[in-house]
Amino acid sequence: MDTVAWDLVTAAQQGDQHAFGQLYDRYVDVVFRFVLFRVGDRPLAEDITSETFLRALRRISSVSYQGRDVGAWFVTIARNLVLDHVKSSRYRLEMTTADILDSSADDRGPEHEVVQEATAAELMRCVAQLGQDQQECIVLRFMQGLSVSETAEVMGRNEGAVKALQHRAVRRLAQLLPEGLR
Amino acid sequence: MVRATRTSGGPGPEGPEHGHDSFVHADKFARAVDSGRTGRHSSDTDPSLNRDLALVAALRQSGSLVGPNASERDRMRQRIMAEFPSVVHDGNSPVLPLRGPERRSSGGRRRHAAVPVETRGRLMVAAAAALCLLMSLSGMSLLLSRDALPGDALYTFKRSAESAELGLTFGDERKALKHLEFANSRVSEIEVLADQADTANNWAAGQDNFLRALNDFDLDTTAGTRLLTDVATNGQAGILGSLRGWTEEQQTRLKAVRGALPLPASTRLDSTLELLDRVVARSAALDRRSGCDTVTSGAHDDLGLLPARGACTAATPDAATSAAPLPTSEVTPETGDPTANGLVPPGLLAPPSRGPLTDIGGDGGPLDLPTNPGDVLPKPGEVGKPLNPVPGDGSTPSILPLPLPGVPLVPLLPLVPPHDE
Repeated sequence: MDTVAWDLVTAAQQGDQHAFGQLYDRYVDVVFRFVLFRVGDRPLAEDITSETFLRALRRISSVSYQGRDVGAWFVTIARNLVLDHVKSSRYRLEMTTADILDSSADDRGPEHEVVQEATAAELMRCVAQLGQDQQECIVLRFMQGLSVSETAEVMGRNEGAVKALQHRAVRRLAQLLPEGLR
Repeated sequence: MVRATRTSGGPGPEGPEHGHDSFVHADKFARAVDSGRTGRHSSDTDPSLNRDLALVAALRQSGSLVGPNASERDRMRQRIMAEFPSVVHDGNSPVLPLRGPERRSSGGRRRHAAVPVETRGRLMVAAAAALCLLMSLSGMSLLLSRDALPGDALYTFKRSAESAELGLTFGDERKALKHLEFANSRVSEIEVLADQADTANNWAAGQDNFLRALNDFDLDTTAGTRLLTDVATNGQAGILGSLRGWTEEQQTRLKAVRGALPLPASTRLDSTLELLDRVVARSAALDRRSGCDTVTSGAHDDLGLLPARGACTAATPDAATSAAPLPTSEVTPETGDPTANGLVPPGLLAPPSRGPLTDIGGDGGPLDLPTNPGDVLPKPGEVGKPLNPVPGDGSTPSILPLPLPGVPLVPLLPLVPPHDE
């Protein structure tokens, strides 16, 4: 468990703005990535990510260490906001890979970047064909890098269910990939 | 590039995989992922697992390509940090020390205060729905309890409704009549209970119900008599005859039941009959003194004021207390039903016949009214029916309250309802 993150939370609970800034720096990528994979729109992902941190700030006194991961807490808030957005706007969750992959990989070589992005775009297209649970599990577990227990916490499931779900999702994804990428 | 090879060994992605096998494969896959293997150069002999691991590596790599760029990151940071002071310091923020009892109690209040508006709205709707449900259930229970008998689940509800009805009745006379109306209901209940016990041939089972009904009857009769004698001695002596008639009718009804009651209940009934005897005697005594200068002794008991003793000195009549009988022309069918104004309970407006009567039933001739006022009351067994006769129905003569000799006329007039236009 990341005790540094919890120290930052404690400091933020006492009104330390700098501590909350550090929490933002630590988790903004995770939250933004998760939201972007779910909504497929960068400006919207930016809004939801900002709102996620503001909501976390408003609720920060209610969060306490109970074996919880701070990152999972942020992602849970983001997940709820995404679900609210979907409900309120009848938004259809579709991944627009070109938008998603308008990424920050600015420092890579052009040739390498093109190949990587082509592969990633195809992967995203296939991930988008998965069911909602499998999609979410793939994003959280592999593209976000959350652990099984963190993923389980965010998805409200037990770890065994997440292990089974991630396995099924990867196998299904392999089935969807074109021959050249398998 | 992801290079993974489909194999025919092991369960395929779409192949059936259930129960224990599925769990084993999922667990093996999870352990392999956590170990950091990529599947590209693995020595594992399971090509399917190697393919899945390679795919996971590709997903991780793709994930790393996605993230906020520098400008997006800065915009979000500025927005959040700009709102930090207002969120934390303007009282809207729940920022408090993490642990300690003070935090817990304050947090509890804050959580209460922070109930969202929509939640409060839902609570209001739920409360309103619960209230409507309660009211409809109460109304339904009230309706269903009307025929409840002692011992029934709804009987308590019926009695409560009667108490409420009594509480909403104002004026001594109205309250007295209401008490007698309830007492009349108790006799009806006793009759039904007796009938049920007779049918089931099981008199021992409902003893408590008989006793309860008799107790309630005694209480209502006593209260009604006390109030009514008080009203009568304040200028409405004519109502004493009606009280006597009503009481004698209840005696008749209860005596009819008494013969069939088992011993404990019949003994209890005797005390009720004694009470009714006292009511008859009291109303008769007060009635006799109504023309005297001194009507009551000033003392009173449970039935109200006691009649005066000693010689009766006739009261001096004056214009306001003329004992002249009402002109016949004023006693019309329209005005002749004193129960129409709701003042008088069933059976109470049948004083003994002491003067000329007019048949308002239709034949125009004089009526031979029963000398016993109880004759105009309903017969035992007419549970729930009005105790006063229906004018013109042919079965019983229509009776009007008439001035009694020596009883002031004016106080009786309020009993006569106005004409319905």
